Amino acid sequence: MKVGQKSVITGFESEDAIIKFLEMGCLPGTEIEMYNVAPMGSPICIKIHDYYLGLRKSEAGQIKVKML
Amino acid sequence: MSQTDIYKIALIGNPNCGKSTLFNQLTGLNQKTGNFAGVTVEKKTGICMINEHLKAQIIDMPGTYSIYPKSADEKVVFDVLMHADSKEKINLVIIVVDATNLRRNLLLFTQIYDIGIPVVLALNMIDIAQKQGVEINSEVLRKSFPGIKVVKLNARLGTGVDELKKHISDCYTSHYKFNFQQLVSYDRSTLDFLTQIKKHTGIINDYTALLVAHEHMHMKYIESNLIEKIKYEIAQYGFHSLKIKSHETISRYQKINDIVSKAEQTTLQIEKHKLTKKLDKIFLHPILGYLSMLLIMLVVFQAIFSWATWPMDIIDNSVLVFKKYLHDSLPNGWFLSLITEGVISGLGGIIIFIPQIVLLFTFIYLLEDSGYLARVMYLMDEIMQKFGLNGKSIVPLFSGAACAIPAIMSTRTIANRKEKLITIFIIPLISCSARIPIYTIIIALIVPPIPIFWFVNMQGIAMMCMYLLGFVVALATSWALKVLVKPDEQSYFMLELPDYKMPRFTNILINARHKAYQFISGAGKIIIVVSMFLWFLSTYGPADHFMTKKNKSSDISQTSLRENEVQNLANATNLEASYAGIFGKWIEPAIAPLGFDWKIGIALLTSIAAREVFVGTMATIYSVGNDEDVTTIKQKLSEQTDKKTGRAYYNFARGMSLLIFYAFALQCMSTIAVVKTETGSWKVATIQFIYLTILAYMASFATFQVLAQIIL
Repeated sequence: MKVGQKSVITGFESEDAIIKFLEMGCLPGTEIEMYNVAPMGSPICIKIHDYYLGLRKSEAGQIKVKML
Repeated sequence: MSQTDIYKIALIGNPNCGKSTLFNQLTGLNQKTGNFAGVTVEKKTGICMINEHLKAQIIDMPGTYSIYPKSADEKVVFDVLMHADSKEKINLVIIVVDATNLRRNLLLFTQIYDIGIPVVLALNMIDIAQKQGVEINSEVLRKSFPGIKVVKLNARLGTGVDELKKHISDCYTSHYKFNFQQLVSYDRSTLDFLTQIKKHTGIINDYTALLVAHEHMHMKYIESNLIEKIKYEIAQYGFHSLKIKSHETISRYQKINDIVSKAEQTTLQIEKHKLTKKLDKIFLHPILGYLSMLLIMLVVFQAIFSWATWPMDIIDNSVLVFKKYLHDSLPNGWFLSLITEGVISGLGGIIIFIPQIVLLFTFIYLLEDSGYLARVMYLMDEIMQKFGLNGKSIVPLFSGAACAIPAIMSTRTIANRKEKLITIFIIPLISCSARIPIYTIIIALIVPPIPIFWFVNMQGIAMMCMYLLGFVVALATSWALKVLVKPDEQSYFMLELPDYKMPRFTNILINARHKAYQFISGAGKIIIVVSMFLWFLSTYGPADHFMTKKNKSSDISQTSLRENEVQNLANATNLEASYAGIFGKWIEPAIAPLGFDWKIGIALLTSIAAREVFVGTMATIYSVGNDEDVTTIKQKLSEQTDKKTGRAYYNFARGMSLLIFYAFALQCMSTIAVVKTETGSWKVATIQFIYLTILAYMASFATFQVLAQIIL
């Protein structure tokens, strides 16, 4: 995903980290927008539920998305 | 109403929801800090007059996104809600939510609602929501969660606080029964399982029983046979904690979505986060972002090291004046000596650092309150990760430049245990302000002030190199630890980047004052005790040994020296004959390869209380007297000659060796004590002490041996 692109969460790669995502509002069906990629490619920052969430690239890789 | 059954109110909410602002608004300066029972998580409490008759105790809880804890901080919220400590039973919870982000904030609210504790829902930052064109209908919220009270707040300005107080006093006077309906429903098997759990634990509430089932492993206060029963039921019903938690969170969000879409009305279409987007173009820019970060850090450092000097000088002088006053007004004797040299010197050694600590934390809170600090953590995470650290480690490491004690305390926000331990482990390697006097005097001694350009000279460069050295070794150590220590849990970094906003200065000052207090209570007690003990060691010695030396010093007084010189010389001989002097001589063979003699040995011992004591001890040994003026000491030290070679004793090799030793050695009792309390055991503190001592010894050894060969 490039900065400014939007997508919808469809699911998660593994079950372990899922609860943290859910608690932060990353639910299947939620729209996210790529807000920023840190200079070294990680972490990244997404806009979700109208707030900004920074997370490592490896973590973000756990989220499955469908591009809009 | 007695102190024990005072009306207790807990403030709970997500990070960045303005909870602490409300806490300061309600309690003002009426705050106390302590720890939650059994853990090192800091507990801020304050007294608030709700009305003329009702005095309530407000407890500020750590921020959390969910009731399920991920760090020691968040665990406290869970424990308090579970009434883990019956003395800490809370009567009412105020859940502070950020009105501009209702959905995510309400998750925690609905969880606490389901426990059945009376709650007041405080919709904070309502002004910002309104500016963004969002109106919230609190009636809809009230109806959706029967039993709750709702209040709209702007905690920054204090609007709505009176209404909140009225709600609190209503809750108190009506003894109101909290009638709530649980939001989440479960399937048959889970319900049967919960019935069993309730039967074993005596819990009535479904959700509370569920929480116990999820978290029983981390609830030390549950009896072990009960845990066995819970484990048995979990196996019996095939209770899958993770699946149930996901199901719960998803159903909660569904409920919340329905409610919020009814309660929220968008009146205007306004582009949100305008300022944030603009500022992030600079602060999160690949080049400008790091540049501005460096610039901000530079300003903070400048402030700590130059603005803080004048209040520090005032403190220093006041301590001297006070000592002089005591000397003049109290009878001479051991008591006077204990008070002035033991207690006052120890106290002085602590309060001298308050200006720096207050300044540092004023800046840190300023950056945090404005929303910038989260960006620093965000930008640094990838780099820090390479060294086994977390983006959140940056604040503790930065604070370490002022003092290791508040720095170690601020590692609490790091959720991952390994990352937290590594951060704590390397903090003492960051040169703290107590090393400045030592660096200053030795650099002045061995580095000539050759100008390089403009206002920078060789001595300034040398000073900077000392800081860099500490930083580089800290990173090298953490990299080694990253490889050596096996992680016990998955490291993660999820951080909300809040919108930028104007910081609130009263808030910042209250928090900075609080940090200073934390420092005094953390370091103060130890430093005073240690400095009294060291006073004893350096004032007294074995009787016969001591007396011969004393006589020797009175012999000297027969000769034609001036009175204060006699006094200084007598002090020096006394110190030599004392237990500390004996220690210095005893340790001399061990430290000789580093280029140190017994005199430095004494200073190594006395500076255990606090490193800067080194300077004072050197002054006494070389009979400079009470005048701890750098130039006088420097002159005295530079006059010392090596008996064997006849050249200056404090040559480059010896000076460098001392610098290196103080850069690495864990010469600080308070740090050891704080590491012990923060990590919960002596293990880390012991390993850290051994490692740093060996490191300091080896590095000094190598430095001295190599340099002494090269420069003779």
